[in-house]
Amino acid sequence: MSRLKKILRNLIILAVLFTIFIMRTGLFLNPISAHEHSEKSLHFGPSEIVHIQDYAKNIHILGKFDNWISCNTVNRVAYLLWRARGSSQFENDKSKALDYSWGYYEDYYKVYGAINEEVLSQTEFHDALFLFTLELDIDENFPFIGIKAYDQSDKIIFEKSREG
Amino acid sequence: MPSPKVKKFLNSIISYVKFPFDREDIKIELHNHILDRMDDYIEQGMDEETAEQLTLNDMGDAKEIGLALNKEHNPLIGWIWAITNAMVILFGLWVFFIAVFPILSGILPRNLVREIPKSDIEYKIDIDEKVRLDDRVIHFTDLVYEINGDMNLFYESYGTTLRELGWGIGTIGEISDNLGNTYIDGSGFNSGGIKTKSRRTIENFSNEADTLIITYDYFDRYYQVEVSLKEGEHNE
Repeated sequence: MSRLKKILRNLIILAVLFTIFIMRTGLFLNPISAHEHSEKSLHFGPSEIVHIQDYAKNIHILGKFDNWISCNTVNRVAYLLWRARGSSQFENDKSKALDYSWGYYEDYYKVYGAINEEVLSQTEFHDALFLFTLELDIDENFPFIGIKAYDQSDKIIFEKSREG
Repeated sequence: MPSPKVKKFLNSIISYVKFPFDREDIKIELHNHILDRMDDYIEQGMDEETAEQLTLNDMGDAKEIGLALNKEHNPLIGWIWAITNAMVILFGLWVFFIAVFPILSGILPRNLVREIPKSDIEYKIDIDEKVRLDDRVIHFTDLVYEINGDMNLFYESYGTTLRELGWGIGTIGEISDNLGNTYIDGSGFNSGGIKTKSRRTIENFSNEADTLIITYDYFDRYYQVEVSLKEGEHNE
């Protein structure tokens, strides 16, 4: 076998090994596939992706599925691959003006949720969903203390302290 | 062992060959060729020294031969070949240990039901109920109720896609009985492998219950499996 044929054979073997590797390690070639598979492994969704936000080298995917609001964090591995770090979700209680969940990842917090009252002229919302990433002092115990929502006349329509 | 003259000639040739991994093979091949040629001259009645000199004369200019061989043994292709060879071996071993080995280990037969001593068994029920959750199939196989009140539920699960193969399943749902008792606590075991064998043990399961109910109702996925507890094989 000529050396060129041997190289071709090696490249085919490496492609097969790489496919097995990414199949078995939860790694993907793009962040959306990583997100979709992550939801499927939790037997959740598929959610409708409402907003994608880059923050701190991670991609946050905000979505909705039936009554649930989900937010997945996907990060890059070895420049080329993507891994979902775990989709979190909560069932939206539409009797509340606002419903949300939060969590922290590495050195920042993410707060995501839904505005259940009609939202007018707001640009920070995505189909009435929101996602905020916050850099807080993680050395301080639970620096994220709660959330407040105001209406057009600056009246508080929702206020809640952080749930533990 | 080549003579100093032949050795010098061979070294001169391979000094032009840039790909180091081919140098030794080229040297051996050329040396054998020189020896064959020398044998021919010796058979014709020449002494060894003359045969060697005539052979080296026949071989030609070392630089010319070296440059031609370097062209034939292209160093770029040589290095790509050597590097891909090493990658196939290293990556192959890595993939085998992190991906293939855990899957293959699950092929080993293991009967979890038989791990419960027969003397501890109050009754055993064959279930054979299959449910599907997305790309996973869960096959409930046996129920074993122990004298101490532990109810053991045995099931296998496997993925229907290559990505899902070899991963275990998280929750199988809530376990309750026909008397309205819900059993949240319990211990579990997963074997791993392509077809993951699992055992979930629920302590203090009511011995008055007639039916065990497994209910999965999360994120719009739903299944319910009911098992009659009156049809088992009782330990005598």
